[in-house]
This record gives sequence, structure tokens and C-alpha cells, in this order.
Amino acid sequence: MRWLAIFLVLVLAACSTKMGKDGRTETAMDVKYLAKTEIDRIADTSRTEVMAGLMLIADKLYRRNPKEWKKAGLANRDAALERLNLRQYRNLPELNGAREGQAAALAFSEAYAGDRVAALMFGLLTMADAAFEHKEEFYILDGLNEMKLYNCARNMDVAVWKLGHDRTAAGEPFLLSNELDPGNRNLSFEREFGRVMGLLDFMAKVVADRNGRNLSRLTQTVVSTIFLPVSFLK
Amino acid sequence: MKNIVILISGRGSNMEALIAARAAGCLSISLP
Repeated sequence: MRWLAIFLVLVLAACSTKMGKDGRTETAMDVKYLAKTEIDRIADTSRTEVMAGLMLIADKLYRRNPKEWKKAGLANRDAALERLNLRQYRNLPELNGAREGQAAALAFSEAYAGDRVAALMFGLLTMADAAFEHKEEFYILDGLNEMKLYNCARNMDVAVWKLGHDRTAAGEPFLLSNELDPGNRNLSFEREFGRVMGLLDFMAKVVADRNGRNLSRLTQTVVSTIFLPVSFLK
Repeated sequence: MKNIVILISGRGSNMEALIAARAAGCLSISLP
């Protein structure tokens, strides 16, 4: 009887129910769910959404700045996005090994002549990879650091600020993004960055709660124009 | 290079990370 009860608990723990677009629910059983807590599933979904949001921003930036993917000698925008998708296996040669904040900062440097969208988004994507400890799925024994997630969210804020304010010596923005012209208003970049920030902040709070810690908000006001380190946090 | 001032709170983990990133050449900042 006891073994039957254990068996039933394990089977039920391995079940997941999803709702399809048509509103119907579908229950599936997967052994991997035995090793996942609810927080692990939240982390899985948060990570997926953050990466999808950043890839959407990359796509939108390439649409507004098509000259950038041409600088890398690529055939089209899709090839440029594929380079970003393969970031965990390949560095971008024009970044000379820079990743995370160092790569993102290159997008706003006069001295940098390469693809600025790639520099910015490669930097932000590798930063988000580091915030999620370079894992694609989370299990019971995996730990996350709330400060890495929090710093990553603040760095999205820094990226938005730099996109709107940093200028070349000629007074032009380094990259076109939001459009403030009343006749052709477009704040979709701001909106998508905001969504990514919200997901990261939410995850940071969930992890802080699990780790029994509080998040410090002081650094945000102190450092507003540099990308905060993520990988270097212990 | 940017001059920054850090107000330490909590465990000081961000200060440690900023110093480590600067030492590794990943962050161009000056801590006066």
C-alpha cells in the first residue's frame, strides 16, 4: 500500500497540464518534471520569455538599422539573427572576445566600426545567459543568484537609456530605436525592454525569497550609465 | 573612463563584482 502511494505521488508530480490556443487543456507526463519544483518551472518560462523578448528586440533593431547586418558581410537579417542564436557556441569575431556589458558598451563607442546591433544584443543576450547561470532548464538542485537577475534587469534600463541618449560626434543616435515624432510615434522598443525588465525583476524577487534574502536597490541610482557586472557576481 | 562612487549596502556583492570586472579589464571605470 505504501509503495502504491509513493508511485501515485511520483506519477502525479510528473504530470503537467497545458492549455492550448483553442482553450482545451492537455495533460502530459514527463519524467523530467519529477526533478523540478514549481520555481524551476517558473525559471524555465521566465528564461524562455526573456530570450524571446531580446531576440524580438534584435529583430526590430535590425529592421530599423539594416546597414548594421551588412557591416558584418551577411546575406540578410535572418543570418544576423542566427549569429545571435548561436552565441553560446561562437563568439562574434568583431567583438574580440567581449561579452555581456563589455560587448553591449561597444555599440555606443565611436571607435567601434562593426555591427552595432550585434554588439548590443550579443552583450545583452550573453548577460541574460549569465543571469540564468548558462542553463536552459532548471531542476531541484540548480541555484540562481537574485543579484545577477536584478543587475541584468538594470542593464536593460541602461540599454534603453543609451539607445535614447547616446550620440555620435555628429549628433546622430548610434542606433535608431523608438520614434518620438508625433506623426509616426513608435515606442515598441521601450515596451519590449520593459517586459524583459519586468520578467527579470519578478524572477529576482522569487529567487531572493527562496534564498531568504532582500534585494538592494541602491546601486541603481549610483550607476546609471555603465552596464553592471553580472558574471562577476558571486 | 567613468568615475563612480559606490554606496555599499547589503553584502557588498556589487562592489566586489565592479572591482573584479575592472581588474579583468571588462569595465572601464575609476573608483576614486
